[in-house]
Amino acid sequence: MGHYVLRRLVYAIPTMLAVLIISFLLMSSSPGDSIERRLDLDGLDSYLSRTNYIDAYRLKAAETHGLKPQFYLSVQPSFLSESINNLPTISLRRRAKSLCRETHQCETVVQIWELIGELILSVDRSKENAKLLASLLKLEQSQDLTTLQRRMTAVHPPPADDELQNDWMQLNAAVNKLTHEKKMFYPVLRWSNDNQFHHWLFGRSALFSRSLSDGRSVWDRVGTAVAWTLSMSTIALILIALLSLLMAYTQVKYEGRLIDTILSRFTYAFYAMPLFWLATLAVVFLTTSDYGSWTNWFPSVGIRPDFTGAGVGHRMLDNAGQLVLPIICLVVHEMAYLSRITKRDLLSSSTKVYITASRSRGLSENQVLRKHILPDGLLNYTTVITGAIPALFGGSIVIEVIFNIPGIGRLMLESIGAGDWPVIFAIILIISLTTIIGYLIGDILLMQLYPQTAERVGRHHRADAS
Amino acid sequence: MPVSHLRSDRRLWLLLSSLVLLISIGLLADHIAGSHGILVPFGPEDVSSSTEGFRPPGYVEIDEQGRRLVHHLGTDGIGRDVLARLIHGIPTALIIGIGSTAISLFVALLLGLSAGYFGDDRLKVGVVKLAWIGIVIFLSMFYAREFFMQDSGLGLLVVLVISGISLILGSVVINWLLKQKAITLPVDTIVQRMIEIFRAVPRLFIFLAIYAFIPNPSIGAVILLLGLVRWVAMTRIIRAETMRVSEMSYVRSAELNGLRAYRISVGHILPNIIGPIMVACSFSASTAILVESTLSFLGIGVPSDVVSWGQMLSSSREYIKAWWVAVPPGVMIFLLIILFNSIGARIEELRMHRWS
Repeated sequence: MGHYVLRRLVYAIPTMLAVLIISFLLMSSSPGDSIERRLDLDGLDSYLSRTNYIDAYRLKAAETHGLKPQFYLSVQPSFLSESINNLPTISLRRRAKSLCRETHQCETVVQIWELIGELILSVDRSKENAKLLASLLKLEQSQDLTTLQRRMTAVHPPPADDELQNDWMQLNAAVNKLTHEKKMFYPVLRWSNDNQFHHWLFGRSALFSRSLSDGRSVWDRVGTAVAWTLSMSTIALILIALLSLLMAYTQVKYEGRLIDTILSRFTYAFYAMPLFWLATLAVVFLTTSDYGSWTNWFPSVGIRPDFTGAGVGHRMLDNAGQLVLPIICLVVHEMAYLSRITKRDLLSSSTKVYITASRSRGLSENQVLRKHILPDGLLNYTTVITGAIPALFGGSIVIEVIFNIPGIGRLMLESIGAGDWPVIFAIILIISLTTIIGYLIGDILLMQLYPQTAERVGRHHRADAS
Repeated sequence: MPVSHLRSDRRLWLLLSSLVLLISIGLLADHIAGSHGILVPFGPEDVSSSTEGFRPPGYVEIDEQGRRLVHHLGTDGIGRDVLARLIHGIPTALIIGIGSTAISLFVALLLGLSAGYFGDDRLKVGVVKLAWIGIVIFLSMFYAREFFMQDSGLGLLVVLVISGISLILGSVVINWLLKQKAITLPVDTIVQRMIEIFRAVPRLFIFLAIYAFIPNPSIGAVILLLGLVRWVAMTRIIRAETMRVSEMSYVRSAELNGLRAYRISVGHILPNIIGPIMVACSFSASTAILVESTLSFLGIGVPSDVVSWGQMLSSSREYIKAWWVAVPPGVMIFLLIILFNSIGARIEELRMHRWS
C-alpha cells in the first residue's frame, strides 16, 4: 500500500512539472506587452514624456524580470541577432522581430528602430516640431516592410540645418536598404540561467502576482471566485452523490417495474441534454411569469453587484436564493450520468456467482442488495465522485455564465477577453494541480476499497513492462 | 470481417439512414432554406423586413413583390428566420462532429496502436537512427514554425517533403551502413504520461486558453483544435483493445512469420478492433458537437458568419421571453447527440452479443 502511494506520488511530479512549464510558456508568450499594461495601471501615459516613460519602463522591467528570456533554453533562427535586445520595450522588439522575419536584415532593422527612438527623444525634448513627432510615432508602430516604407515617405523631414539631419539621413538610407530578399538560416540554441521562469519559480516574480485588468492581487481575485464556485459545487456534489446512489439503488431494487422505466427514461433524456440548454430552458421557463404565474418559481437571474465592500460570505448569504436554480441544474445534469453508470455496475455485479450463492444461502433480496451487490458495484461510482473533486474548483463555466455567478469559470472567460494572463495562469495552475491530486486521491481510495481491482490494474501496467 | 454482422441489424440501419437523411438535408440546405428555397423562403442571414426582432412563430411578412412569407418558427433578435438558421446549422454541426472525430481518430490510432502493440519493451531502435529521427523532427518543427511565421506556404511544403524523404532515406542508409547498439523505447509510458498531462487540465479550459491566442478562429481551425484536444479518450480505448488483441495467437504467429510491426498493426490488429473504434467514434462525434455548441454558446466557438446552434441559443439570453429561440436549437443538438450515441450504443450491443 505504502509502496503504491509512493509510486503514484513520484509519477505525479513530472506531470505537475510539465503542466507548470507548458502553461508558463503559454502565458509568457501571450500577445500584448505586460510591462506596458502594468505601467498603464500605475497611471503612466506613454505620450506624456518619452524619456520618463522609457526610464519607468526600464525600472518596471528590472523589477518584474519581464524583458528576460522566457525559459532556460530557447531556439532562435540565425538571422535574429542579439542586438534586438537593445531595444527598450517588448512591443518594439516584437515589431523588429516580425520585420526581421520579413527581410532577414536584422542589424539594419534594429538600427532603424534605434534611430527612430533617438529622433523621437530629441524631437520630444525640443517640443517644437509636433508634426514630425506624430509621424515618427506612427512610423514606430509599423509591423511590416511595406507599411514602414509607406509611412517613411509620409514623414515631414526636419529642417535642413537641424542637428537631427544626420540621424534623419541615416534612417532614410537604412529604410531604403531593406528588401524582401531572404537568406539561408539555421536554428541557434541559447541557454540562459537568468530567465523569467527561473525567477517566477524561485523568486516569486512580481510579473505574475497582479492582475493586469485592475491591479488587484491575483490570489485575491482568484480566491474570491474560488469561494463562490467551491460553495456552490460542494453542495451540488453532495446532492449528486446521494441522489444518484439513491436512484440507482431504487432502479436496481425495482428492476423492470414502472418506477425503473420512468427513472431510466428520465436519466437518459437528461444525460443527453446539453447542460447549457437545460440551464437556458430553466431560466426561460422558470424565472418569469410569462407562461402562467405558477412557473415563476425562482428569482430572476443575477448576483447583485457589491458596493458595500461586504465579505464573500455575506454576499453569498444575501444571494442564496440565486444559487438554488443553478445548483438544481448542475445536480440534475450530473446525476443523470452518475446514476446510469452506477445502475449498470450494480446490475452487472448482481449476476456474479457469489450473489447467486448468497441468495441460495437464504438471504433476503434486501440483504443481498445492501450487503453484497452495493459494496461490490460502487467502483465506478467512487471513481466518478473522486474525479469530480477537481471539478469543484473548476466549477461549471456554462452555469456561471448563464446564472451570472462570479465564480472561477466566469473569471476565466473574462480574463481571456481582457488578456489578463496572470489570472488565467493562476486558474489553470489551481485547476490542474487539484485535478492531479484528485486523481491521486481517487486511485488511493480505490486501492483501499477495492484492493483486488486496483491490484489488477497495477499488475496490468506492470505486465506491459515485463 | 466481423463488420458483416452489423449489416443485418434493422435498428442500426434505421439509425444510419436517419444520419444519411440529415447529411443530405445538410448538403441541400441552400436549396431547402434560401431566398428560392423549397421549404423556407428565407436564407440564414436574411433579415426580416420589419426592423424589430424576436417575432413569435407564425409571424407573417409581406415582401416587396407582395408575397406572403411565414416565419414558421419566428425570428431571432435581428429578424433572421429561426427555421432557416436551424436547417443551416445542420451542416455546421455535422462537419464539426465528423471532421474533428476523423482528426482525433488519426492521432489516437497512431498513439494507441503503437502504445498498445509495442508496450514498454518491444520497440527497439538503434541509437544512431533514434538520434537521426530526433534531429529531423526538431529541425522540421523549427523550420515549419519559421515559415509559418513568415507566411510562406511553399516553405512549409518543402519542409514537409524534405523531412519525409530524409526520415525514410536516412533510416535506410543508417541501417545499411552501421551496426548500432539498440535501445528499447518505452512507448507505452510516454503515451501514458502524455495522456496524464492532457487530463490534468479540463477540456473546456484548454479551449479557453487556446482561444486567448487565436481570438477569431475559422471553422477549419475549430475542427482541428477540437480534434487535437479530444484524442485522449479514444487513445485509451484503442490502446487497451490493442493490448488485448496483441496477446491473441494470430498476432503472435504473424510475428513469428516475420511480418513488420506496421503490417501486423494495420493488417491484423486494426480489423479486429474496428468494433470498439466505431463505438468510440460515434460517441466522440456526439461529444464534439456538444463541445462546439457549448463553446459557441459562450461566444468563443465558430466565427459569427457560420450558423451554429450554440450561437443561436446564446442569443436567447438577450430576451428570455423568446422561447422559440431557446427551444428549437437545443432540440436539434439534443437529437443529434442522441442519434450519434444510439448508433454507438447499438454497435456496442451487437458486438457484445455476437462477436464475443
